[in-house]
Parts: sequence; C-alpha cells; structure tokens
Amino acid sequence: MDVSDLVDTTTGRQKRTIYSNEELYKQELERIFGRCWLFLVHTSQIPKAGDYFRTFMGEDDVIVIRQKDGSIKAFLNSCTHRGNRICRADRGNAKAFTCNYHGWSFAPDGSLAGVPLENEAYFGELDRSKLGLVQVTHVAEYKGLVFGCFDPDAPSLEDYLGDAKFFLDVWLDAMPGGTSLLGETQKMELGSNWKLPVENVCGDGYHLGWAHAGAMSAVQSMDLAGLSVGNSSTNLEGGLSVAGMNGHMALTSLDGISGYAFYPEPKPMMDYLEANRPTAIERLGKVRGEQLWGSQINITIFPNLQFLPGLNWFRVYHPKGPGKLEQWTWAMVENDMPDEMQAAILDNQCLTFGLAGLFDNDDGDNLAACTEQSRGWRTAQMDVFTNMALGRSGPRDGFPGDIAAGLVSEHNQRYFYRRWQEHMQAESWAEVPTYNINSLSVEEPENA
Amino acid sequence: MTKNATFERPQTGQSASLELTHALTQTVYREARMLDDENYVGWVKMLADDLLYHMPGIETRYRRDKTDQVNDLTRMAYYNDNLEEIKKRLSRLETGTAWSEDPATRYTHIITNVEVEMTEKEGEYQVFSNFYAYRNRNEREEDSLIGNRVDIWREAGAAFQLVKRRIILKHNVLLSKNLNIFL
Repeated sequence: MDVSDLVDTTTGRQKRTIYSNEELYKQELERIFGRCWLFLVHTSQIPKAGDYFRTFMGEDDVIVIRQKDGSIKAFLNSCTHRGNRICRADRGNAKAFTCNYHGWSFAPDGSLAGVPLENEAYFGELDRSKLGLVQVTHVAEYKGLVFGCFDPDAPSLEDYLGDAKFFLDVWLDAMPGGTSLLGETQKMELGSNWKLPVENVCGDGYHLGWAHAGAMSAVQSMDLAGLSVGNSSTNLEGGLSVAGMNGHMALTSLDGISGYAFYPEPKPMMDYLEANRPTAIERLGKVRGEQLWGSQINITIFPNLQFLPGLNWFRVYHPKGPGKLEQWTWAMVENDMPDEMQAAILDNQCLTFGLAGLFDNDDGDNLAACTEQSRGWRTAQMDVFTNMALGRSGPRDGFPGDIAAGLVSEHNQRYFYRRWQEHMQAESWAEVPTYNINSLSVEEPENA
Repeated sequence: MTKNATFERPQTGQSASLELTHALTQTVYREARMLDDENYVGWVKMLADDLLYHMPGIETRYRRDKTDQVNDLTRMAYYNDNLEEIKKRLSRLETGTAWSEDPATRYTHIITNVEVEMTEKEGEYQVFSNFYAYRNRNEREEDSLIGNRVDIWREAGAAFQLVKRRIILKHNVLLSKNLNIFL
C-alpha cells in the first residue's frame, strides 16, 4: 500500500487508518518487523550455556539460546516437520528441545539431533542437515542488549543504532559493572495499535501532567523539568526532545537526578548517584555524566523497544494485529547498585509501571480508546496531529540529533512517523535512508 | 522500609472451631463487599499496620524448573505492598484525577472455598480462599480474574485485621489492560 499520504511530517499529521487497517498491518510485519533489528533478550536473562528465553519478532515466535561457546543464537520456535511449537515455557535451561507431536529433537545449536523411527519409517533417507531449526538471520549484541534481524541486507547493528548509542551508553555504559534486567516478564494484552504506546513514550511529555495527574500526586517526590499536576506549567529549558537518529529517539531531562522523581523515597538513589557521579563522568564525559546520568530519559529504539533510565523500566511491544499488542516489561538495574537498591527499584517499577502500576492504569485506557476511535468508517478517514513545536528544532552543543527544547513537544513523534513512513514506502533496505542528523562524530575537532 | 525475603506462613494444618470459621468467613465476605462498593475507607480499617499484600508474577516454566516464583519475595510481584503503599494507591483514586476510574468500574468479588486454620500465634488465623473477580466498564469492557489466596488474619478487638495476603492469579499474559483492582 502506498503510505505517502498517510503521514505528513512537515505538518505533523497522520491518517487514523494507520492504527486500524489490516492491510497496512501486514505490510508492517513485512517491512518493519521483518526488516528492522528487534530486541530479543538481555544477556543477563540467559547467563549460562543452554539458558533460553522465548520472545517474538513481529508475530513470529522465537527462542533465543546461549550456546556452549557463550555466543547467542535465535531460532523460530517451530518444528521443521509439522510446524508445532517446540518450546512452551517462557524461559529455562535446555539440553535439547523435543517436539511434543512426533518426538523430533533439536540441539541448542538448532540442528536436528534425533528423529524417532528414522531408519525404520524414513528408511534412513531423511537429510537431517536440511531440517534444523530456522535461524534468525542476524543476531548481535550491543553492551548487553541482544537484537535479531530477519533481513539479510540490513545494516550492522552498530550502524542501525547510529547516534542513539550516545544515549544508550548513558544507561548501558555509565558504570563498569554493566546492567541487568530483573524479574519475571510482566505481560499484558492491550487493545491498542502497537505504534500508539511507542509514540506516547518516545516523545509525549505533554500527557504526563494531565493523564497521570492522580499517579503523580500519589508518588512524585521531586521536580521533573517543571512538569506539574494538571499540566499547568513546564520548563522548556529543563529537557530535550532528541530525534533524527535513524528513527530512534530520546526524551531527556538535564538535571542528572530526576529519573528518580517518581520514587516516594529517593534518598538511597540520590546517595548512589552522588557517590558514583565521578565514575559516570569519567566514563561518559562531562555532558552525559553530569546532565544525563540519573536524569529521566525515555530511550526509543525503532520500532518497538523503549527503556527509561531513572524509572528503570524496560519494555517491548509485540504486535498482535492492528488493534492489539502484548506489552512486556522488566525492571532494569546497574549491576553496581547495592542489592537493597535493586530490590527497591524492582518494587517501585511494579508500583508505577507494572500491571498494577499507578501510571500504566492511565495509559492503557487512553491508548485502547485512541485505537477504537480509528476504526469507524468516518473516523478512519480523519487525521490526528503531532504538530506541537513544529519547526522549532535544531542542533545543540554536545548532543547529536535534531533537538527541540523541553519534554513537552511533539517533535519526537513526528520523527517516529517519518521513520515508519520511510520503511513502509521502501521495497528493501537499499531504499531506506540513513541519517544521523548533527552527528557528533563529524563535528569532532580532529576532523576539522 | 525493609521487607522480608520469603513469604512465611504457618503449617499447623489444624482446623479452627466452627465459631471461628464462621466469624472469619463472614470477615472475608464483608471485605469483598467493601471492595465491590469501593468503600476503601472501611477496607483500610480491616488492614493491619504490618500488612504484607503480595501478588507474585508467575511465568510459564517446565515442571523440572524448580524456581520458587511464589514464596520468594525478592522476585517480581505485581503487588508487594505494605500498608503505606496500599494507601498511596488509594490516594491516586482520591485525587479525583484518576481519569481511567471515571466512569467507575463495576466490580463483583466472589469469594469461595474458605478454610480456616489455627496458627502457632494466639489470635492469628490462616484463611484459604478462592476468588472470582469480575469487572465491567463503560459499554462492553469486561474481564475475569480468578485465583487463590492465603491470608493471615489477626484478632483486633471484636473484629479481625488482615496481616498477610498472598494472591495467586492464573494469568500469564494479563488478558485485560490493567490490574487496578484489589483481590
């Protein structure tokens, strides 16, 4: 389908049909989820050989498993004989995956290791070497985050992430011990198109003071870029909306502490930040170490990964049709954090953005209703808008990306829909533009 | 605030008297009625100061995986609340700006399979029950949450207060858009 008229990033307009159209959804599975690098697992979730984790790439069920040599492979969770699901657990440790249907057995490296009655019934004529599990084309890791990609022509993961690494490293590389994801997967089905929560988290600081007014009243303990209950004020100098990094986005405050604004008892976190600030500055430099590490940062890796240093939740959205998604959430910690602090983070993540979380209650309701209101004959033809602060972006010293001031702007959402449109229009990776706007690497003095 | 590492509960297996069983059964029914009526002022009075309200999140694992996802309080839990945290949740509702709660959700809590046991502690009782919580909202939004509970209730004057509750919900993927409900 031609999507050139469905999104207009110069005016900040989208047609509502993009949230409900079945045909567009199928095109998304092919051109976005079949083409982009997708988050699979954090290395901390499968530390030992044989440890596996089940996830989805688009609607494809995938097993990610640690190999004997420490590397990680990913396979379609489907028997090559009759297509049955070969693994039914969310995670575990396996020496082999044996299909429940006829007993075909696959080794952790995906090879077909055993076939019952192979000689008696197949007369020894089965070519087992051609019937191993179907491997995800590319699997690569960036500092603990493991991604997979189905498209053989995709750029490398490093190139795909581009300048978003500037922000990724604020979480993944600030401390020498690295990071982990904690806890059982918190899974929720929501009657929302998958783009709506991504758009909400990637750039929508506007909804916070209004949609979450009740939750903010209950748990907010410090200022967050001047955002206030009831949306009565904001401080545009207190934050940045950063986009133009190959479709990835960051929304960040700049005070180095307000990530913990929604912790009712932030004192232990403030002590940790203060004690480790010199380390963060040494590893990340002054701008990121002082202004970003500890700040509230919403990081979005296109198309469906989002994580928030500070609030410390980490989330992927798996599409389940145009009007449905599954949201998977974990708590995330730096391994250098003391045990009690890690426990407090897990607790607070569940209290705020868990299934019973104070904030998630509000979002689910709104996003589901936005999806429903795009289904009618008349509403599907209508526009929705992300036109706040149009044309008010540019470069900033010390930061990559095209940047708008403040957390309240719809700058990032426009870039999200721009990337969506670019992928949906492109026949292959060769037609997908690469851009790292205002990249720091070309502005370094040694290049001058 | 420090929290314990495991969910400990008595293992006496000794049934309570008919009279106590009746009194505690009536207590959990009354609690359910308060939750149906959104009478949170009344409900909070039924909660002890040292409350632990725990609902672990449970993944699908093979039987050979012996990870204790239920009793280990350091693992992920949708609720791992003390009284103060329960009050924070209620304070969100009281602000009048929890838009997703207006119009109100319509609740029915059905409590069944009540068993009452003695514990080693004088005046404290272990109460097992099952719940079926039905929610309906707006025109046609509905969901059902079904599971088991094990409680510790303590005598407090003429009534009882909830000291501990563990809730086991049967979902893996939560098939509704939130768990904004007390079970």
